[in-house]
Amino acid sequence: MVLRKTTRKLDDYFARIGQPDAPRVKPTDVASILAKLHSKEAELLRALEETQKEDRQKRIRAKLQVVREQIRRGALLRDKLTPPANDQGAR
Amino acid sequence: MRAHTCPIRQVQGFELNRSIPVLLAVAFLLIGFWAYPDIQEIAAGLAMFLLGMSLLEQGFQNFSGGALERILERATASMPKALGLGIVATALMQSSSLITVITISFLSAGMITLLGGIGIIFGANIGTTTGAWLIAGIGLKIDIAAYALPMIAISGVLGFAPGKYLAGSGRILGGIGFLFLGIYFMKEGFDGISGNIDLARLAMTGALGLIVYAVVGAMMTVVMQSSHATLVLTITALAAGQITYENALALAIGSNVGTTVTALIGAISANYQGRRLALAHLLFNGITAAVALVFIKLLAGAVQILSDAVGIATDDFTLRLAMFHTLFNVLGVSLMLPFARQLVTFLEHRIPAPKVDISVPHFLSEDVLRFPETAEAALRNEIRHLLTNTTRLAARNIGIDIARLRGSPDIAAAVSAMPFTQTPGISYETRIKPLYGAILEFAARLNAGEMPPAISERLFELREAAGRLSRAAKDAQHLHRNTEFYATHSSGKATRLYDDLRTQIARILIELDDMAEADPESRSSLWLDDERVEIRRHRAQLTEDVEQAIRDERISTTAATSFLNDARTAHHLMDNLLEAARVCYAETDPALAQVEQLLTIEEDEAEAFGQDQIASEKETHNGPTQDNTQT
Repeated sequence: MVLRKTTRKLDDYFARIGQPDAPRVKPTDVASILAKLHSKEAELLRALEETQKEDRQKRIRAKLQVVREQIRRGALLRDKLTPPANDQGAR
Repeated sequence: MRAHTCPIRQVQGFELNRSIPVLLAVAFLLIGFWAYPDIQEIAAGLAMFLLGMSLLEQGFQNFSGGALERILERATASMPKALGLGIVATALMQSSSLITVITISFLSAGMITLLGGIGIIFGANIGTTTGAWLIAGIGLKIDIAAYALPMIAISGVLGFAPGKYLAGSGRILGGIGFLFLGIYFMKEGFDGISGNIDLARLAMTGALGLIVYAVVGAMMTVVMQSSHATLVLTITALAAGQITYENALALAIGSNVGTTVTALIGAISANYQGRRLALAHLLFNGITAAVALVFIKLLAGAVQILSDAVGIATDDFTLRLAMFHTLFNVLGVSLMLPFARQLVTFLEHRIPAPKVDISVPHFLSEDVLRFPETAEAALRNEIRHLLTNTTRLAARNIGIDIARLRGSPDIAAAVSAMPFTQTPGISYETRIKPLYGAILEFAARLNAGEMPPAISERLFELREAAGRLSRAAKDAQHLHRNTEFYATHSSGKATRLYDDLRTQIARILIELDDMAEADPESRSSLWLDDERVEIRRHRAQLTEDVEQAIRDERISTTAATSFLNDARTAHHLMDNLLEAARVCYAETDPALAQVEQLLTIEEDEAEAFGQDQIASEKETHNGPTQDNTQT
């Protein structure tokens, strides 16, 4: 369900490109947000290593699950925005 | 809303109080005109100068709304860039005074930083030396008054033009025209004074001569409102042999100090930032002048070497004077540049920002109201302020101390063990209502309908966020009675349920504090998505727990009903806090904001995530442990 929704959101965005309410996103923009998410993931992994308490570990794992879903979506968006390497110089 | 709680109203009240001295000034002017008719021109010139400044400010506002702020931000992003902007702009406009006045108005509006403003002023001091070369070298002195009338005429026509950019250009042109005309009338008014100055009568030698001539140069520039005019007089007197070369150098040094009066006049209508810049200008030119006077022999020697090197004739004192003017201004900038940050610290200490009360807005003012992007930034900052106040109020109402909990490895245990703490002096009436009222008034006065659609949409979101915070504060007040009762009266399961609720709120409040303190360049509003998932997981889990407790007769139906009502209020409170925080910390760059929107976990997805987590917990209890942390 989640993957389907993500794909639909991306398709909606690509359909709106060019309209005033849809600013053109560049791969560097996605990379900038992904960097923030990766830094959060690294911070959570550090906290997980340092935590002994089971409840706290459970909570951190739940947080990791969400941030990794966001990273996965970001990677999907970046791939859609980046032209395939073999397209370059095709003309 | 009470008048004393809103800074905009305070400004209006202040303006009302200012009407008394203004009326007195008008009375003095009328008496002055009657006694000394000559001062009419000087007074009219000053009035035109101030009118020009006001028109310039209005004109630049028409260009705000994104592009101008970004250009200025980039042009003043580093000291070399700001310096370059000051040099080029002043060399083109041939008026360091004008560049200074424009810089003060930008700074007052929050469009540039104080350090950036200082960079422009430093650059302007170098840029203005091109005028001395023009005067001395090719005998060209730009007659600014000759341009004033056509500028004003064209600006009048542009005033009827459709579109804010053309109208803005008209205002800028008219503003510059009135500035030039004002300077012209002031010069005309002082003609009698300058006509009677016979520099030969003041010819002096030695240190006393240097100081006297520097003071004379400063005074001449003050009364004529133009360092170029002083240089013209100096060059003429030098060519006629009325003064010595050293006296001419001192006059040029003095003119640099005198020119700062323009910035001081400009600072009259500016805010504390504008006044800081005017003081920076005075300090910079004053220190440069003092250093130049002390080392005048060395400088004169350096001028001789450089002049010989570039082929300036030995008897061409006028060009050598231009060389001196450039050299001592470049020297001044080189001396002061390494201390620019210390200068900023000194200015901030010397002219402190007005004292702020946590209960009143910190960022909303008349100045920022006129610049769309600046106004948006101010509103966003104010809502962050309201968010902080709301988290403090929420913490007080559920009896926790966030500062103590933040360092705790086990928040749930710390909340249970913590005595019900109530920080005094925090209430909806003192911390939320005045701010929320001021935000609503500010947003209403912004007239979002006339703004670019993207800004208008963001302003709407910000206003909604303020509303959410106000509702969250009300919810926190609602929770106070029962959370206090169960925290101070041990009631078995009911107390544990309320402690769990307080722990959940405490976690959100800590998370929001962490967000507020995180580096703005590295934080993301997406970090808050996890908390939304957690609220949904908690809500579903709590309902199951309470139902089980009722079945096991560990809680009465009355207490359970009461608790579930409070839990609903608590979840509304947390949702509203998180949504307001998301708006506060969302990216402001449209493309980055779009990426965040595409990656965010939507409402229904958060619900599904929460359910998955509960199912996973049950599986863990019933089956083998699984590690979800591996990618």
